[in-house]
Amino acid sequence: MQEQQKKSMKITVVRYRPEQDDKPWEQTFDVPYIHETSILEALFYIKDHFEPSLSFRWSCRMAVCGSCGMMVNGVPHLACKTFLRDYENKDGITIAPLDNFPIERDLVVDISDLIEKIERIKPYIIPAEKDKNMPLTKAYRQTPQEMEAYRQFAQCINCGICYASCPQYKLNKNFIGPAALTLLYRYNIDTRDGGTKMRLPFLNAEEGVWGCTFVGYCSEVCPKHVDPSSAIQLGKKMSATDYVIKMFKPE
Amino acid sequence: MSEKSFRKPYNPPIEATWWAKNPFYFRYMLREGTSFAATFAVFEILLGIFLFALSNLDAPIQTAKTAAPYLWWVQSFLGNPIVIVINIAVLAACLFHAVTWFSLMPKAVRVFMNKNSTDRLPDYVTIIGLYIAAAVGTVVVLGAAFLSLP
Amino acid sequence: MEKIQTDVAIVGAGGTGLRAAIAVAQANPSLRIALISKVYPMRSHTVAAEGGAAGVIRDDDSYQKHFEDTVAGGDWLCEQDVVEYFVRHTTEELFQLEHWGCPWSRKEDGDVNVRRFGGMKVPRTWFAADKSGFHMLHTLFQASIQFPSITRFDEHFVLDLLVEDGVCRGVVCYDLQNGNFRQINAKSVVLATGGAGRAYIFNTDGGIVTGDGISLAYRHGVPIRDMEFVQYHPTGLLGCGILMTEGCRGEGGVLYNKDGYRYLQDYGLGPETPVGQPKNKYMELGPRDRVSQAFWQESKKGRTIKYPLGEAVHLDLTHLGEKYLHERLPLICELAQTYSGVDPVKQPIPIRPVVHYTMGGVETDGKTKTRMDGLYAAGECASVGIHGANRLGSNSLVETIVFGKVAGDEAAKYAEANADYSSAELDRQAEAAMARALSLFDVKGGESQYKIRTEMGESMEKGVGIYREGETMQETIDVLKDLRKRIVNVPLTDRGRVFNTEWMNLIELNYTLDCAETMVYSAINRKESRGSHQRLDGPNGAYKERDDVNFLKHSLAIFNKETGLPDISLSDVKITTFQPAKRVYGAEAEAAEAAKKAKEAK
Repeated sequence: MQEQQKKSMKITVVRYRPEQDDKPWEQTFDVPYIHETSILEALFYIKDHFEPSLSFRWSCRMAVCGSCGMMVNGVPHLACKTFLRDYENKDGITIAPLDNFPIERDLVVDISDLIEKIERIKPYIIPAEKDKNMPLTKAYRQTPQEMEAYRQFAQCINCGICYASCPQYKLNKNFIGPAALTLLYRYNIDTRDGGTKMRLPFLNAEEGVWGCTFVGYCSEVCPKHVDPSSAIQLGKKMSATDYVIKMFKPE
Repeated sequence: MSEKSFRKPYNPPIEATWWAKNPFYFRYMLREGTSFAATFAVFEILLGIFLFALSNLDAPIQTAKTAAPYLWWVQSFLGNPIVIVINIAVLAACLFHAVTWFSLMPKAVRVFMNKNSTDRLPDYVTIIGLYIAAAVGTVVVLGAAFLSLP
Repeated sequence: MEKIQTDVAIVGAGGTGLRAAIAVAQANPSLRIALISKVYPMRSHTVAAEGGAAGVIRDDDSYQKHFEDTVAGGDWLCEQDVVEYFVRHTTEELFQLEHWGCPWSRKEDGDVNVRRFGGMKVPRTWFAADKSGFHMLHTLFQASIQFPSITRFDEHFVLDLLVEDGVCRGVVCYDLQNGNFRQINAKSVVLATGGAGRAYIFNTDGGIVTGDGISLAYRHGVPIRDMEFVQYHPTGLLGCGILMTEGCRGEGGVLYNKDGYRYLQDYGLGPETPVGQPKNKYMELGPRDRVSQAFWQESKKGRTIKYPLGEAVHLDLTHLGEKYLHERLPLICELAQTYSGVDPVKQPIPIRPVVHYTMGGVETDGKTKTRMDGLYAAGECASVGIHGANRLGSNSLVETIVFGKVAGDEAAKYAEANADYSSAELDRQAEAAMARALSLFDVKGGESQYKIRTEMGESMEKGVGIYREGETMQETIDVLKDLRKRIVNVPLTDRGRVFNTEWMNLIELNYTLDCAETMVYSAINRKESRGSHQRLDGPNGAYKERDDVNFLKHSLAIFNKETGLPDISLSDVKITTFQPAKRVYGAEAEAAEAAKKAKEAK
């Protein structure tokens, strides 16, 4: 840890108060910081000392609850995992609500569309017929390799940052999108699951994996290194395989 | 009676230049833009085939006259300095596309090292494999072209 | 105000709330469930739990051993019949989560793996790397989606319980997104709102852990039990207090003071075990209260390490190697790197004790029922009686699901036995709660909620910290009294209704202040040392010792409407088979066990 010295930085925050404003506007503050100060702590400082009416979501402070996704100089980040020290040579920091979601209030966006999509794709184990009555005294056999196959895709914290980064979602809100498609793929390749067939229609659909043009930015910005674009490309393979199988073996 | 909602969500308009502001999107659009180059190359080759077909292929002896349309394509069209410049740009675009595409491909390939390992095949193996495949393909095409020379 | 009729209302959608909701849905699919949370379910603080969840699974383990570890760990202040039920139902609940998709870490053969944890005799902690809470919460949330009878009220903040004739009949809440209010009449209500760690300035908790449910019940006269027992986790990251899981030590991490000395051997946890060979209940695998107390002692002796951000000791994991660390403790590596600039593969992590868990909570019986009909409580907000004076690591994650299910089952039964109810009185209460909340907009004053929150947090650390004294506790009481007067003079600059977090935070602060009061009043009344409640005072230092004659009792804090403060009383502890004895770890424990065996042999 370095010698702590008093420094300050210009932080511009996008404001939008639905009951007063017709469109967003900006407000700038001088925020003191040390080496460890995160964007989230800078927002605390603003709320505590300058502008108590500033609204933003947050909770865990350790990059696992997924509340504090926001745009920092145009790039989506978790506020708690982004530090002022990394913007020292820039011309200040501008914090805006996550792209591609309706702005509810200040830095709070409406993520109900993301939640609905997560709910839609049946993100839970649908046991195969033989496993339906498995007693609560044993676990499914799943080798470390079988778990490793989906482990990375199960690390999503639903922060919405990938949606904010996705041009396809920007242009077409019907696109199921990175997080939900990744979750779908994660359950489809879980060896404990028997519900692949029920999720394939979502995967195969126009707004499913084929809505992705492999921009790859979601994987770049994901704070948990989930790599959604990988899951979606693998999903495309799964979808194509399903298409070929159906061609030869119609149901 | 239910109390009214105080909500008034703001939907920011999508700017036409959204892709120009972030280097990542810009590179992506550039990659997508290479499809124009590919389209040009396709039409160029189609034109060659079309003119080749127009040539008098039934003539017992091929002369400059019987092969005139095809020779025009080879000499006047492909030989045109502007077309040469365009074709160099097309080649560059296709190489750019290949490089960016190859660098993304490991995402679509997830293979474990062996039956029990939790370590995956490293990304560079996929990428090197793609370059080797591209090199082999190029050698085969060029070889075929040179071998067919009279 | 919109009025909704439901069968079971569940307040809080973390591990406990989600498990309760699923239990109700499975018990009777025709029951309507309102799952109310001030955040989206996956934001709940269960998400931040790292180490794992205890469940007996190994051949060399038994329910009896888990029972004894838990009761001794809790310094005999546990309800032993409840602990018996608990240890017998942990494993099936963990298997249930496995069947729902939780990626518990595996052994090579594909079976579930377990790791060591502090105060546990046998490795019995199920883990999903070091993101156990995260995976449990997301598994529960995702599993809950398949039950159509669960209606979620996400981002709804509960303002009050609706209580008529001593029976709980619903809740009233503020809808953050729409900015309006909802009255939810319910036949039974389950509180699953988590702890109150935010009463302290330095804690591992999320901003939402403000003790809402404890305060809601408390204000209606429901007894709040054992609130003086606040757990300090020994290994919080210096500066921010982010949790470095006990799993670090379970996997073999060791603690050093500034001399590079493993100081725990000086505090009844020795003798020193070789680095890389952790031994259950020895050294770093001692219980949390003891390990935190050792830090305090080291600090007094001047043997801690001084950093710009404060005093620390070192948690050293470097001997475990990169591959193992990245497999078993990936989150720890990421967090230490991000928030401390330390790579645990190469450097020791600076850590210090940090407030982590509220052992106490709303008093319930072994079936999660509170003293108020229709009101149930489970999880961290409840005191069902399994943690006593000190919770063992990995008992609380599994508590959420074991007692979440019990609460769901019990609330479902109660709802089935009762008819829909609505009355003018409930409507009046809902209107009154709304008016009370709205009246905060009329306050004109010069107070700052930030200052009040900070002063409360600092005063709690000082007065009711790792070691306590009557005098400093009294000072904290005086500070809280002052804050109580000042909080009514906090004006709201934010006049909006949509996502008014300033307004919500102020109400939360009131809740937390209630919890802080129950903590300090219960603490000053407990004139002994037990578990996480350690005193340094008393005539001739009498309170330094455990006093089973007078204080083998629970503390109850009951709201007094006249004074606005808690009245403290004591209640009996249920002891079934395990008689109180000296609480020992390390070699002392082994000697005691050998003596016991020898005696039995005779």
